[in-house]
Amino acid sequence: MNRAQKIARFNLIVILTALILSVTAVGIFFFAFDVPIQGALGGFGFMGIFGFTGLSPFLYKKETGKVSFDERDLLIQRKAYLGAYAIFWVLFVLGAMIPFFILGPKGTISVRYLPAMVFGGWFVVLLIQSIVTLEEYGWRDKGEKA
Amino acid sequence: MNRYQKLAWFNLIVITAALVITTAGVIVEIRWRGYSTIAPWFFVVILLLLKLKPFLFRKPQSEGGVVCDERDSFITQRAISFAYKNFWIVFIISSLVVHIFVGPKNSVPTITLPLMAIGGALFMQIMCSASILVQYGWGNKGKIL
Repeated sequence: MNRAQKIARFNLIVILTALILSVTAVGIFFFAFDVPIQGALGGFGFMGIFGFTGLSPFLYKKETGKVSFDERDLLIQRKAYLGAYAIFWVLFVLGAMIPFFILGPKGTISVRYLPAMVFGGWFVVLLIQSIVTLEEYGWRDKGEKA
Repeated sequence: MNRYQKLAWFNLIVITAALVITTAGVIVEIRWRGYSTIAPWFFVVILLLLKLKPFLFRKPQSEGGVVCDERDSFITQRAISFAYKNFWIVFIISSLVVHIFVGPKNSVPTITLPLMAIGGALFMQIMCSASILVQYGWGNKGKIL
């Protein structure tokens, strides 16, 4: 497995862990403990685990003195990147238009929605990028080396 | 000048014209009536010109005619990724600036969100077009694809 695959796999594991724990926590708070939905959404605090994705370049360092990246890797990286941003863009427009249509043009929305959009966008980009990278190289070890 | 350069020039000219004419219209209307309702529609109408691109800059129709080669797709992909990177930076900064200035417990009008989407799309278009022109060159160098 090469470096890009390892990073993508690590990111995917972290993202899915954060998502599963968050949704489970919200569900438990809301259904098992009858916490109101505003309070139950605090379960999304587990999304903080997502920050561990920032460690991937340090955990999987480039090997010095070796060629770790060729044209094929660049093509795959670019494909993953463009795929991720294409999906992000659709979700970004939906995220911008849906509250506008639901609340109406004279409505207001909490300013917290804007950083949430940034965070959600980053989440989607990294998730799709990891999936496309693994889909392109293969999900399992095929003897790929950097 | 090749097709991509022409498209990039067209994008930049239309977007700049939309911004300049709308701003001038809003200023004139506010001075004249004290409020502006007509001029913002200039922006929408001028931007609709972007929809004419497929008719104005047609792909070569001849059989076996080459539309683009590896270099062209490399340049366009690089331009798109450059535009996305810059969009992302502006998106994060603008969201945080609004959050800080308005205050975390306050609200913003819902119209902010579609404006963000439109602004983002225009910003991407400008960045992508400028990047294409920087990579190919701003002028005509005899490329005819």
